[in-house]
Amino acid sequence: MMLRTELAVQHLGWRVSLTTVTAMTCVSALLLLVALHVAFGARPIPVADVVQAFINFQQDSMQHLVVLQLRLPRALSAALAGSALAVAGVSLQAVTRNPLADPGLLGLLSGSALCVVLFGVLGHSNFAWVPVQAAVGALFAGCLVWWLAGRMPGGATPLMLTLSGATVTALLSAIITLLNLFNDQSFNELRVWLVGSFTGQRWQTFFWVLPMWLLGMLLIFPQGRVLTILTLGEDTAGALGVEPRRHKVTILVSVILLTASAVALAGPLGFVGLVIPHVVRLFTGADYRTLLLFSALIGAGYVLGIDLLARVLFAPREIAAGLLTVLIGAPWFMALVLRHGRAGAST
Amino acid sequence: MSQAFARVQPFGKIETSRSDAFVFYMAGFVLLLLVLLSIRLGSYHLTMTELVSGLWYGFWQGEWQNLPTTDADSSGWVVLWEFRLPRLFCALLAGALFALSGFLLQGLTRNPLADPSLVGVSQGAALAVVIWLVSDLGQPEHRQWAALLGAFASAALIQFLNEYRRMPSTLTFILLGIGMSLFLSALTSALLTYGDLDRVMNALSWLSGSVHLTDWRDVTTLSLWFSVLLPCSWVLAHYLAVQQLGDVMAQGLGVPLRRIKRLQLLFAVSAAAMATAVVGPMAFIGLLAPHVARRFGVRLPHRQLLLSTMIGAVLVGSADLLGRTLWAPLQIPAGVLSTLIGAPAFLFLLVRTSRASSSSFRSKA
Repeated sequence: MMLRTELAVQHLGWRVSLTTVTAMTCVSALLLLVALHVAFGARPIPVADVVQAFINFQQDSMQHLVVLQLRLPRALSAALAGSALAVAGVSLQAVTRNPLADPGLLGLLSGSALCVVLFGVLGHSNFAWVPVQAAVGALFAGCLVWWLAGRMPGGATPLMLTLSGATVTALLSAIITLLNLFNDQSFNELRVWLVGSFTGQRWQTFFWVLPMWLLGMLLIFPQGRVLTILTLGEDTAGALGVEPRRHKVTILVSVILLTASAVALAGPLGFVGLVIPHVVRLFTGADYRTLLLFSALIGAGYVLGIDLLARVLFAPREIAAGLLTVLIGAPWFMALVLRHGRAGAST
Repeated sequence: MSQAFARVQPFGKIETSRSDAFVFYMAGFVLLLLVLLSIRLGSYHLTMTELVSGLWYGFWQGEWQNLPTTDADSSGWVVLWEFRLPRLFCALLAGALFALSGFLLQGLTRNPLADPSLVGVSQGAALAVVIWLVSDLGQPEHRQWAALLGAFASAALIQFLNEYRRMPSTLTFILLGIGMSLFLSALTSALLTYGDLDRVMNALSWLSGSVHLTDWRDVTTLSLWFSVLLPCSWVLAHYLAVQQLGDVMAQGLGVPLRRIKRLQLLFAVSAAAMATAVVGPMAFIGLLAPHVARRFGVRLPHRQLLLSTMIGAVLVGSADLLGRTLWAPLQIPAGVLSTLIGAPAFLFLLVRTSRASSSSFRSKA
């Protein structure tokens, strides 16, 4: 008896420490990526100088100013957007019990983009309000897709959710095109943003979005246990003492907040919320407490890497990060469909 | 969906209902009305006399290329013959081709949700055309061949992926198509960021699905392809009634299924490619037109095919008419407008069919 308890504790301790070690590794890799991201650019800055800028900042050094005022906000925005999208994707996958859920595929991204464009056309393009506008749009589009899928044959299956998400996305993008036709100025301002890009990030944007991101993360992280239980189905969740409806509201609110903060920073970045959770599942398993943590870390690293790649690939020019995430994510999505095809068909 | 075909007796006597003829008359009437309206309405006001005399000279005397330029009427004639008529014909023919493609794809895959743009065929054609235009591989007029190539490549890829795991289900087919079309559109946008600016602008206006740059050469291309594809598809559509009963049954009844399916795919893909090459990718037309045709109660597949092409023509024609007249100096591309109308209609159809025949959906999914 004694032996067994000891073994269990030992086992538990080993497991926790392994998680911690992996998390620490991820964090340090993330820091390294941030440094690389900052170091690379139109004028390469040595990594040593980047570190110097943090430790020993000198007001008159041009390089230190570039690092702190231009490059660092961009890197941090990329990390923020990546973690937000990945966590939103994980939570959506748990709540909809759908391995193919993603803020982009379910129409949330295009909803927030439309809302931001709409307010821009109406003349309310004050930046402070962009995250709020994005949240309103995401909420609207998400509810629309969910409602439509629920009314379709067979209920909200992965097929119906994806199908109604794709249709709603097509509709909302057509409306965005229409609005842009009427208003050239808004189109010119938002053209780059609409494809998903981190060009020209400033501290101001970052700090306006940060509270929303923090709120979303604070809401979702305590729900890890509930998310795991929700994947077992509503009946089982009820039997285990979890009231699905109340928790679902909290989870959806945080998904909306996180999606909106990502959109406000970078515009729509497709498939991040789909790819990252599946990669993370490969080594964490199905426990959503660890899944959430690692999705946030690896999602941040992924988008940082994507943005770095977007700047490196065609060096003097920049490719939009949103295009790269789709180019990587869409084949991944197709592979997932091929793998889960049979399982998905039976539900 | 399947109840539309259910009462067809493939090799028995097929009763012709009088309502079919009525439906066709109505469709023809709407089409005619649309043609008249499209000729009449526009930012340049054509008087009735200009219209009639212009049409008279053009059609019956064959002199529209050397119209009297000194005449006071002549500017109206130019508007009529150089702008409105080619544009109208392009819109109608492209709509008909999209509908034909959608109809064949839906019958072939026995999947009520198949559509050239949902499956990625249109996007494949669009990508090939953008490569053609941006990298300046040849004359812009020959882009139809690039479109054909791209459409066949993407169709082949999807077909391969679908058969790769031996699970030809509706679910994987549609989801793969969605992934494919997203991937191809991202590639297209990436190309557009890097191309030469002039050529990119050229490609951009084409990509939004607009009809306003078309001329008589496009009309000739489209009508040539249409006059080949429609009779072929008409013949092949007769098999669809039997194919609807399932592959095993169809083979048992003596249908050379592999060959028929291959031909149907060939015609569906080339119709979508041609329409895309001229007017750009237009979503939801190929999806919607066959559904509407079935909803009118026409049961025989070849009649459904005819009615679908008429409805497709009406849809694109009216989208173009609305796009150029509603906000008059501003031109809304027909592709945008067709999505604005098509997406809600598609969702409505999906929700409605759930009540009528949810079981048929589930059995296929």
